[in-house]
Amino acid sequence: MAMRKPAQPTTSRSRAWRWFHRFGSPAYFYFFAGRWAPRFGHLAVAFFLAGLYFGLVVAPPDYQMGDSYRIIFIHVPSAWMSMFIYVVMAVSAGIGLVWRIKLSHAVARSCAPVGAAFTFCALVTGALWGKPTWGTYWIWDARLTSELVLLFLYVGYMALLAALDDWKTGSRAGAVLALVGLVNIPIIHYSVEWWNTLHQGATITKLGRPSIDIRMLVPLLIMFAAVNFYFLAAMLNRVRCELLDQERRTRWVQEVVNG
Amino acid sequence: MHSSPLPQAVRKTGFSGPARLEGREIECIRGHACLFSNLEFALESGTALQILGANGTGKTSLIRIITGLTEADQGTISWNQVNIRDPGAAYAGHFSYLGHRNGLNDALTPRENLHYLGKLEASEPWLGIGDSLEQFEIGNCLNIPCARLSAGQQQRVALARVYRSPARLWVLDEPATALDAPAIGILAEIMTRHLLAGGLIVYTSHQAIDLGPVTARWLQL
Amino acid sequence: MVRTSASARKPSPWTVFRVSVTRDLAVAWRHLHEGTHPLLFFILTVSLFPLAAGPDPVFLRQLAPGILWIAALLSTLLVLDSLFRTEYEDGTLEQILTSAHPVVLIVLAKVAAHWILSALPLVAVSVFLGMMLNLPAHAYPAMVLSLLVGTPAMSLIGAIGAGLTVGLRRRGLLLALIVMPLYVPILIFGAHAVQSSIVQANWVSPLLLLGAILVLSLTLAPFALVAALKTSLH
Repeated sequence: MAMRKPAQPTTSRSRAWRWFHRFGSPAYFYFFAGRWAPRFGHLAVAFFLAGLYFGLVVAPPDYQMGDSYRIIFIHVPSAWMSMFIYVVMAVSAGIGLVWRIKLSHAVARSCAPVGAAFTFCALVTGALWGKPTWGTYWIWDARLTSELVLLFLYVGYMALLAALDDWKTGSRAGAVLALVGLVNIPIIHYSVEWWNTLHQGATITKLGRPSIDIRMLVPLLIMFAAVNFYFLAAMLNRVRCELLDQERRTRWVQEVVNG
Repeated sequence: MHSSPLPQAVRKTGFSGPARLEGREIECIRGHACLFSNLEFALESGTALQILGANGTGKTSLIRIITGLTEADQGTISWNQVNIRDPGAAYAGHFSYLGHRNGLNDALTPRENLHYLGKLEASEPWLGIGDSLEQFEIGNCLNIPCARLSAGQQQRVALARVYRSPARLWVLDEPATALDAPAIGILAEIMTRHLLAGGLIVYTSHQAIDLGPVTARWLQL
Repeated sequence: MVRTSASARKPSPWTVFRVSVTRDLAVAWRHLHEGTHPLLFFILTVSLFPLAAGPDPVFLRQLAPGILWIAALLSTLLVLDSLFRTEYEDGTLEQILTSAHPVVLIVLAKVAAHWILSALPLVAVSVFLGMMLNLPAHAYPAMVLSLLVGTPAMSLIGAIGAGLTVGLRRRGLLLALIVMPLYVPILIFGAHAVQSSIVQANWVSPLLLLGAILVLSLTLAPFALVAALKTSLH
């Protein structure tokens, strides 16, 4: 017979508990991220300062490019992070899509603006570096072109999320798009390289030299660590906001908000 | 019951074997509002379930959860003890769904629409297109583009599609929309016949649909 | 008048595919005037280029592959929005997604019909536009073949975008924004097949790469498309 169980006024406790058992609870992750985001933030600042000091002061000037090469300490880590974050975003969104995990969707959504910022940073530093190297801010270099298309992919993802009001629908739609983008990125990368060699003959490769001075390598590695820590800190903070918004009906959010 | 003589297009044989549709601990959240939670229902062959509730209580959401178009935030719907979301459930072939949007293309005639939609069924419909339209007394509309039919006529075409369907479970969201009194009588009649043949029906309706001798249950949202 | 299920047979996948395609073609036939829009758009866009860039035949010949491919891309993009629009609004999409047959097959049929209607005429007309752009005779096979292989890939990938945005009331240019970056490889290989054939270089390799993209989209895109549609109808 059709009937209805008495509705539970507080769905939070039992629901949060089930979430915890099934996927790792948003509440737990919220507090976990709250502990770790500042730590990663501090580490990022420390590594940035150290990396910049070693990169701008200690490292010797390049015998060809003089001091202008020093922008690689920003450019190369940014370019690396732009790709890396896209992969993290797409994989996380894919996990959320398949196993219906809210936390994964929150991570994916939080990755996008950070990744887009790194992509933009890589483009700007690449253009700035282009002026002394090529004599112009923009040439259709394979790497820069790939970064530009990647920025378009990030922008498309964020535009789609912004257009879909419903969080869950938006997250799933974004996940499909991110996964399609993930399959496409290697193809885009390869096609752009192919197109580039076709038109430019010998391309100027920025990191083409077989060996790099240890005094240049060390600050570069420090900067790599710095951008990774920054990404973790920024992403975790964003995830906390997403979780607060999405779990606003639950008791733990009420407790957080009301002290 | 509708009393005027109808063309007797009825199934020669009913559905065989038991069938059971069951919902357990269904919860539906829209935006930040919880429409319903811990909802339980079950129905067996030969029974109908009417979902009742005021506007905005989630009748359509529940209907869509039963069709699998929308996923419940919690809980499961099972058809013959198999969760409809299981990869091997093959649930889609067992129900026919009529939503607010009737599924008819404006540019096509009822014949073309029903031909196409019939091919989407698990097996060939048991009743011819013309006969099913006769059943709803719109046999003369067979070759008129749907855009030129009235809302009531279109709804009759959409119901004819459900009636032809070989599916055992009918999921009808406001099937009496735009229908006049005689048409509601026909609808009640075909629903009763479907139930007597061993079918199952889940429906919402603001108009009363008299299912005569058949067990009708209701679910208040 | 008693009719019973004389044949309770299941329609074969091929029947379902064929019926879906013919149904979409019939719908398009009833709206023939709308069906000509992408074609007219294609012709107009191509005709505008010489007006902006100058009528110098040598210069136009150089630009021809780019012009033709960009115009083809834009016309494909323009009609993408209508791919699932009517079906979403009249409820056919709900019937498709609750069908007993593999949904992938039915949506693939929709994309196939869409391609026949929106892209195939472009390929035919491109021959005449090639003449207007002073394309050398030996470049026509490359142009026709590259469009023939590239446009279905564009339809397949674009359909995913159409599926993701079909539920939105105010879409604007969102569909173009999310789909265009994904078209980059197709554009590169397609335009360069034509370009290479103009200078009588090897144009088969880019064409083969284009073919590889088509095969990849044919295998993966329908599944992404079904996921997209299910999300939009949620």
